[in-house]
Amino acid sequence: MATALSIVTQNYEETQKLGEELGRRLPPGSVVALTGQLGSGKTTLVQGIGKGLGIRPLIKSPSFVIIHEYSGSVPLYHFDLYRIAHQEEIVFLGYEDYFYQKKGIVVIEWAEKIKDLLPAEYLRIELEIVDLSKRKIGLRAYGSFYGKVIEEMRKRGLFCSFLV
Amino acid sequence: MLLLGIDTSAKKGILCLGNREKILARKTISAGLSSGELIPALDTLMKKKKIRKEDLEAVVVSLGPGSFTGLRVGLSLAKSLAFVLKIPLVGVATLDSWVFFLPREGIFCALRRAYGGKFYAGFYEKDQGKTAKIDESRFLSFNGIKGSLERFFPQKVTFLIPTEERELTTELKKIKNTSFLLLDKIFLIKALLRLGAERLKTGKIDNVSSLSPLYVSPLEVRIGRGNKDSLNEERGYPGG
Ligand SMILES: Nc1ncnc2c1ncn2[C@@H]1O[C@H](COP(=O)(O)OP(=O)(O)OP(=O)(O)O)[C@@H](O)[C@H]1O
Ligand SMILES: [Mg+2]
Repeated sequence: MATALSIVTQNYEETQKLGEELGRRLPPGSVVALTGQLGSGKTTLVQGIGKGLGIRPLIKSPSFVIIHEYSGSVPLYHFDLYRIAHQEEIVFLGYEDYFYQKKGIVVIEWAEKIKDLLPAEYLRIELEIVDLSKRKIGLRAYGSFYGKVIEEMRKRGLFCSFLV
Repeated sequence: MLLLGIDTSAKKGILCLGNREKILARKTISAGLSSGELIPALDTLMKKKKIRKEDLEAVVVSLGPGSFTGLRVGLSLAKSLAFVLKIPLVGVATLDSWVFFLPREGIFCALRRAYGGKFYAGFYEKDQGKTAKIDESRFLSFNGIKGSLERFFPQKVTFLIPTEERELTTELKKIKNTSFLLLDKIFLIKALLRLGAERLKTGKIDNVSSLSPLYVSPLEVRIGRGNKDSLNEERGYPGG
């Protein structure tokens, strides 16, 4: 089973669409760890995931809060760790009640900041800026749980034109 | 002395009424409990036993280790009741209470499932009826537990495990020089009430505003220190 997939999106909409397709396929209890520099498209991708989950309000970058919960038939727990300096800071928030639940989808921006706290199984998404409007997006499954999602994305021929 | 016991450290929470010797009434609260469900449950329990809130003489609360949200839900209920009813509040470290109540001697590892395949583990020595904590409860992997046992060799270590987690015994049986005891729900409740009653008897009451849960995380950071009243004050344990 494929455990990795690399995609290039040509614009903002395509990244959001990728998120939407992912959002439709992620099983409840999923943890998605996003990494990539400022402006690489992490929030854009989360917005797509929210859309895929049928969540109405547009997802914004949480500016002062670290966790934002969006309710839906499958809730979305959006973590933006840009502002944290130490992993301990999310321990103070009771992160494990999010990471180890089976109900919603957890998406973490700046996941590299909490290396020691990520669960054993998660879907890692690395975003790279290629140029002004192109983004290289790498998906990698850690653990068998997410292998299926990646496989499905590939099988359905989604983003085939962008496969590299 | 009529005690109200609150334990929301595990998936299923417990509310109980009782004293040092026995449980008068108890109720299990389903997983994913919220504070909004706890109060009506307590109300039903008290009505069933025709106990009025004025009859309650103290609140005993389990401090953990356990779920972050669960511990906070239980502790806030305990604090508000103690505050409003003007009765003493006693916080009890969950694993301490198991060993304290156990009528046996030896080296014990009190164990409970945490998350992500890890465990909360506390090591104790019980000798001539005195319980001493060897070190604070920790967040350990299965191998971490195994490694922690080496220092006790050649002494035997007994694992204490709640019956709900009996499947752990399959793995634990493979560790040499150990044995295990399964603790049922009644034991856990009695243990909470017993250590709570003991604390009250010796006047070790907690401060309503400063008592915090005993929260153990993989980073070995401790948030809140439970209460300062460690078991070791009853018998200093060298090292650890
Ligand atoms: N292919 C693309 N995919 C996503 N965003 C793109 C793309 N091309 C250009 N952009 C632009 O890049 C920006 C991405 O912003 P976004 O907030 O999603 O990034 P981010 O990784 O969340 O940043 P931050 O680190 O500040 O949270 C937007 O302004 C968007 O219009
Ligand atoms: Mg962002």
